[in-house]
Amino acid sequence: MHALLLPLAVSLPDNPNLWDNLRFQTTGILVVFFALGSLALVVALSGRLFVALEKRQAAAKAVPSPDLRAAPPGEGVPPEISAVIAAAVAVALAGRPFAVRRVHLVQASEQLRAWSVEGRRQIYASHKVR
Amino acid sequence: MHQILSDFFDFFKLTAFDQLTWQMLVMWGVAILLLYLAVRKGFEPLLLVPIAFGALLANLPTHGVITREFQANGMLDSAILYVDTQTVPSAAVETPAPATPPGESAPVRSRIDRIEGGLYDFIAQGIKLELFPPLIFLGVGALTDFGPLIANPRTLLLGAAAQAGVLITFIGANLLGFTSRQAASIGIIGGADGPTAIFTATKLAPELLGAIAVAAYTYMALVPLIQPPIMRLLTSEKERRIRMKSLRTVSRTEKLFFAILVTVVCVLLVPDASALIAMLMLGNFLRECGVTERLLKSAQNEIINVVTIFLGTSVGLTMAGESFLRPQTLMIIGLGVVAFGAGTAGGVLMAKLMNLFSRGNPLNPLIGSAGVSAVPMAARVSHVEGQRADSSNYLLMHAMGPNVAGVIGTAVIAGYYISTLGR
Repeated sequence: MHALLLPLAVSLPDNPNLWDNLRFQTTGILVVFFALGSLALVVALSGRLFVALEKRQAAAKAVPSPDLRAAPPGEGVPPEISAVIAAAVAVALAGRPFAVRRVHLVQASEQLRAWSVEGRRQIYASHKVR
Repeated sequence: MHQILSDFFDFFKLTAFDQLTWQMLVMWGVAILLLYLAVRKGFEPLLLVPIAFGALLANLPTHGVITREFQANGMLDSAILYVDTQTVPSAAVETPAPATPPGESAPVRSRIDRIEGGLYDFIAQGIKLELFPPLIFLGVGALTDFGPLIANPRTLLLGAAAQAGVLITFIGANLLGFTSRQAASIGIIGGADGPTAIFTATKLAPELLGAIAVAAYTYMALVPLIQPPIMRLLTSEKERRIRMKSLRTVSRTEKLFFAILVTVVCVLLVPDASALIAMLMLGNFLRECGVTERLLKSAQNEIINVVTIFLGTSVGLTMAGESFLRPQTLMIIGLGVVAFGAGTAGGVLMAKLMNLFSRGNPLNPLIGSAGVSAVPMAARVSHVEGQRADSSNYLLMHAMGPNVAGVIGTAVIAGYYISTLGR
């Protein structure tokens, strides 16, 4: 509160000259860059920390993804789901020969991933596979 | 029969036809134009409709809607008033108290602090007391995903650079004869952030509030027309085709940390923007914490919708013809275009400058223009322009970074102006 009562060095009269105005605006843009720049720096550093922590946690919880070849009958992807996936691939590849080698679950809960999935869907829908 | 006719004509003395002025009639045209733009053209209808309707009301001789003002002759009109008074010592009154004749009690001398009017006298307190813009920011925060910004924090600098429009317009307004406080309020139009523009104008230049709000919201709707030519002028085809690296997924903990961080840093740096920043980040915290679903839904829907109606009509009610139909209004509308254009250019040029130092992971300069806020319109414009150059280039989420950074940047520059010019 005491800071509000101090005389301000940075101020501007009602009708300033151009030089005073430029000085005032330069200080203003410096304040904005200082605020957002320091935020960017802290967010970048903390982001690295969060990513490292997540990687460590993910490694601790790592579970091998289901593999069709390795999955014994009755486990992994159910046969009817495998059939649906194979049918979808057949349509997408327009009758070309193919083999489904591996199916793994994509976690689509995060909004960012939803955006990229939508983008990928639009790309795939925009042209026929050669 | 004669008596009935007499009563009938006497009734017309109670109507308001004789109170119409030519300014009111012109403002009806302005209100209808704004309604046309909002309803038929889809220009920010959620705000322009209440503003335009408020402008219509402000230019009708209403009773019981707004505060009765003193007329030019110093008299009040016939509205019923509730008057709060405060007894003050005689020394505090400008005119000396007349001598009390012997045997009579001393007269009570009062100063009228506030004259209460009708419905909108009370509702408009939300603007006068600077309540509405922060409440709108609560909803904005609840609707905003800061994930793209956190995933690519360097885009914060694009949000900072886009504030160039604010600064340049400030200087331009000063050169055109506006005072520094007025120029600051006009410059904030360049932030393309309506609540911040209203917040700043209320603090620094309440006499320009109507014109500034109309200019800000009209140009926000015109972002898809104003920005693309500038973006194309400042970028090459090759630059427009730059593909950016995919954004990483940001965890909930990181988003919560970000909300706290922005609140602390910005409030410490520019305490005059505390109300805006704090409510923006409170809304965002409600969104990301995952345990306040009911509060989040209220902030995202009921609160922001109700406040938008009141904010819009309150702003419109400031647009009385006598104060709006002045050359200043035309200047403000002209300066608004300069503000948006310069902000767009600032963001694009900053992205190009940053690319000189990060050749391995370049930014598409088109996302720089999104730094002018106008969430999410400006980000959509970046995306569409990017797709014109390369139809399989998806810039939308990349552009959301500078877009939301622009909201923070505009609040910071508004806080700077208010703290330096507002006292």
